[in-house]
Amino acid sequence: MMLNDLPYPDWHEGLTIQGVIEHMNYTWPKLVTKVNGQLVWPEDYGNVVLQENDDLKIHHLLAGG
Amino acid sequence: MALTLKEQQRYKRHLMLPQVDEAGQEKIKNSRVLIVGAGGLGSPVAMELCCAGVGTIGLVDFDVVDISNLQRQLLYTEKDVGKSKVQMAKERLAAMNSDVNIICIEDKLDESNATEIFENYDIIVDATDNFDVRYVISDTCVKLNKPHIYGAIYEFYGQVAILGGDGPCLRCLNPEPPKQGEIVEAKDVGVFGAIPGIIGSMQACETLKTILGCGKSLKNRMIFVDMLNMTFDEVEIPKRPRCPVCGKGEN
Repeated sequence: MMLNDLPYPDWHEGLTIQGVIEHMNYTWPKLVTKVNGQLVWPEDYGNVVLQENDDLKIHHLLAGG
Repeated sequence: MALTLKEQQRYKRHLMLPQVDEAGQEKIKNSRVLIVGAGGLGSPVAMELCCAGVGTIGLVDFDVVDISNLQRQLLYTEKDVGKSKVQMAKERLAAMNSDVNIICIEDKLDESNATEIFENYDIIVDATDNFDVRYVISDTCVKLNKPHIYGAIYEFYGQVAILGGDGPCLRCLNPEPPKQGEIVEAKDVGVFGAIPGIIGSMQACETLKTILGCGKSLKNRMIFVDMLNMTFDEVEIPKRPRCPVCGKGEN
C-alpha cells in the first residue's frame, strides 16, 4: 500500500483509513483523504478497509491566508 | 459596456487570446468580485484582478498593516504600517488601474453581514485566514448561488478549489469547522513568502476563467500544492447528498 507516494510498511488485513491516521499520529483536525483517486468522507474513515495495493493520500484541509 | 480605445490598448494582450477577445474583456469589465481578506492571498488576487480590468472589486478586512505582513503581503509598503489594510490597498490598486472601482469594507465578516455584502457581487474570493469565516463564506455562497473561489495556505503548502453555487460546498468536504483551540491561529504559523503569491494567482486565474466561462475550471475539484517538494495533487469533490447546506440535509 502507498501512503502519500511512499510505501506504507505497516499494512495488514483489516487496516482502515482511521487506523493509518492513528498509527501515523495525524493530529490535524480536518483532513482530506482519497483512496485510488476517490475522495473519502471523514465519517467513513473507520469503515474503509484498505487493500494491499491501494493508493492512499492524506492532505490537511488548510485555512491560512 | 463596450471597451474604450484606451482600454483596447491597455488590454491588447488579452484581446489577442481567443478565449478572452473583446467580448470577454467586456465581461471582465462588467464583473463585480468580492475578496474577503486583504492579506497574503488577498494581495495577489486583488492586484491580478485589478490589472486584468475587473470593473468592481470589493475588499473586506478589518485589520491594519503590521510590519510582519510585508514579507508576503504584496499590496503594502513600509509607509503603510499601522494603517488600514483596505484603505492602503485601495490607494495601491487605484495607482495600478484607475478605471477599477475599489470598494472598501472595513469590517469583520460574519453571519450577520455576509448576505448583505455578498448580494452586490458576482463572485466571492476566499482569501481569509480562519475556518470560521470560511464556513460563513461557503454557506452564504450556496444560499445566494455564487461561486466561492477557495484558497488557503500553510507553511510551504496551499490549496485551491471552486466551491459554492449549487455545490459542492465546504461542508461537503468537512461538515463542521474545527472546534476552538483545535487549530493554531494563523498568526502563530510560518508561511514561506512566495506561497501566497502562487496560490493567490491561481485564485485570480480561476476567477477570471469563471467570468469568461473558458477552459476546465476547478469547480468540484481541489488542487493541493506542495512547494517544498514542488508537487501537485488533486481530488474531485462530489456533492454530499445529505449536506446540511447544499444537499437535501436529511441528517
